[in-house]
Amino acid sequence: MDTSFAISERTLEGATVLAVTGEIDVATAPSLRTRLVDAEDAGQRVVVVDLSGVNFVDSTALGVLVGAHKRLTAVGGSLRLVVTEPRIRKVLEITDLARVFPVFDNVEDAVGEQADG
Amino acid sequence: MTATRDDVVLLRLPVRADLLVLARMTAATVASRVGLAFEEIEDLRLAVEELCLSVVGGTASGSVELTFHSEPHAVRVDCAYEPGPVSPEPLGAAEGPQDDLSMKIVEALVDEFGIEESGGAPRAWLRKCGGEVVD
Repeated sequence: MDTSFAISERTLEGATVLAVTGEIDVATAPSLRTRLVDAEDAGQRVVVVDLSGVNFVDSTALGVLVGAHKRLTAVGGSLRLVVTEPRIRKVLEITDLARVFPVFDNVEDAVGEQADG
Repeated sequence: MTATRDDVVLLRLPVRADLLVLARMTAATVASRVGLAFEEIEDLRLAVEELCLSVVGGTASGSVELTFHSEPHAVRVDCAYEPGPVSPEPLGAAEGPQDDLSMKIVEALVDEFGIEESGGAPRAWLRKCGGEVVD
């Protein structure tokens, strides 16, 4: 897994997909927030954050995701997560956020709204 | 290498977002030396980050001092925050500190932890123990 922080963006079936790699912590979370806000400002209502290349998230990162989730749901949109790493899923579960975000095993399912529950 | 009770590592950091990674790195190194498993080391890395964020409270000023104690198959970390001049810059993203999330994470990942405030200077500590050692 690539451990350097990076964000790549693409559009898939009308949804913005932000694929993140590396560690999302107090130093890098602001960059993710900027990309999320940019997508929201561009009018995107469905945003997928692909965390399959992420090996660390802290509460700052979770706060950014929760903030985007609130803003998007307020306008009828949604923030969807792709999580494949057990460690990331573990953090979502211990913070009860796995029940807040729609979480998917891959980007295609996230775009197609096939939640894995 | 065998860790002893006398092994103590001190780390003093200016409160800067890009420097907290040093706390995680130190935690991982100390945890590895006392024989914690990979999953336990990863738990400790995250718990130490959250402990720092908790005592700092979203302020990007001052310094944080971490003391890592190597114990037999366990690590204790003490974290003390020394406030600095008021900074207009927040630490991290605009959502601000996520104290409730931090505490949930720390509570779930370590065996013991505590946080207190004395004279306006928050202090916190945690202990992460390793699981059963298999010979």
